[in-house]
Amino acid sequence: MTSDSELHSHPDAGELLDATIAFLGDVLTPAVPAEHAFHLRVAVNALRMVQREIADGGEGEAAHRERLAALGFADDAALATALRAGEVPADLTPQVRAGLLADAQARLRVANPRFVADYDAAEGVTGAD
Amino acid sequence: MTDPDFLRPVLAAALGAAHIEALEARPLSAGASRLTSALDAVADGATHRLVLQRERVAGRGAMDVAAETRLLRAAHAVGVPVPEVIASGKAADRAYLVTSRVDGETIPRRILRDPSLAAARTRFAADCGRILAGVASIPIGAVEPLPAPDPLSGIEAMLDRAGTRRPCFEYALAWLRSHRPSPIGGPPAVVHGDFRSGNLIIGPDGVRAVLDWELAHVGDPREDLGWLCARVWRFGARPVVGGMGSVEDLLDAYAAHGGERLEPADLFWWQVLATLRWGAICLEQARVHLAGEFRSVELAVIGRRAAEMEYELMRMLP
Repeated sequence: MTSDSELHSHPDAGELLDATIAFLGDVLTPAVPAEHAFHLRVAVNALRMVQREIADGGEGEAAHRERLAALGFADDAALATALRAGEVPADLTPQVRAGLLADAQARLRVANPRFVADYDAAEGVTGAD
Repeated sequence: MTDPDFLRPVLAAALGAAHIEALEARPLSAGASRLTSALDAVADGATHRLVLQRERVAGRGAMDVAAETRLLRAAHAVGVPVPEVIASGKAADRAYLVTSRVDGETIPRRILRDPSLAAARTRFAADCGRILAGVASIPIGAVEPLPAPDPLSGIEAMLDRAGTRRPCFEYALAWLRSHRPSPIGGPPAVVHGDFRSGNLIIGPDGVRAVLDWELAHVGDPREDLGWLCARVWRFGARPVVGGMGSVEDLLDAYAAHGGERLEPADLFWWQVLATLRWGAICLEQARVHLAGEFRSVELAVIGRRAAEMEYELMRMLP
């Protein structure tokens, strides 16, 4: 596997995370006192998020910026401000909704990859968005 | 909590005892604002199983124990199951609250799975309907002063200080503002403010106690019903009410015990509110960590869970 970093090459950031997660999860988890077990699990989960964010390689970020640009907003702050002020034209609503849904899905691919499928199965969501 | 000695005279007076022979505290949980310990006291030969809640940082006023004491006593008076208040006050500028200790489970995933709680799960929605009708029947005069905030203003304040702007949440906020439900038939009522399985003590016989009254306020009783029905409190299980029961059972019991007769659709606005509120709380938790108020990997990671509520809101709303 090639690393995205020419400067650091191997081990790359993801490989360092793999090693750390394996140590925390496989070695430390059975050994920590009960009062720290929950936070250790949370910490391993945090590192897995970072791993997925690195693996995404900026694709999610670029797609997010494209969606904002298509709607005519520089960033989320500008879109949020316009929504708060009621300044998003009503005829843009379907595109805004579709963009916001895609943003939430993109964030969840990093934060909690099972969430969308679980939600859709439980709530009977069908069709592709 | 290594030294609860300051409690000896307080407990002697509260328990009507001449001597406190033994006093021992064992940490149960440490939140951002308070530390909770199991407290065992031996007074004149009798053992008392208690809970001590103590403000974490002196002088911040994060715990209004006078208000909590009023609420717990008023709730008990109308038949809402709560721990009994033994003593409350301030020591070394840190508030404390001592209550009786109610046995049972408070961890939602265990409540959802423990075989010994199967009967409690079956009756959970009806228990909650009955108890929430009781909460809404607490005479406001018995618990004043209590804040009566607009339900959207607290959410807006959290979004504004989050340090991140979320268009999904603004979309939901705008929808909530433009679709406010008409007021309920009765006058404003006491709202618990955080009524969910994690704040209840559950035994094999059902809900034994309602805890954590620090977010109680005056408002629309549908707020507690909607919050209880939020998806986040189902912990992966399907049933709408805490992953255990149906909204029909909840609302039937609510009406049967003196609450307004409501239909599931009457809760939709409040479920959207609950979803947005949990999303805003996710951002707030991360802010508390990032601002250094309470450093915690748990709070940091919860910030990323805001995306779950963004997705739910975009699926719920037109």
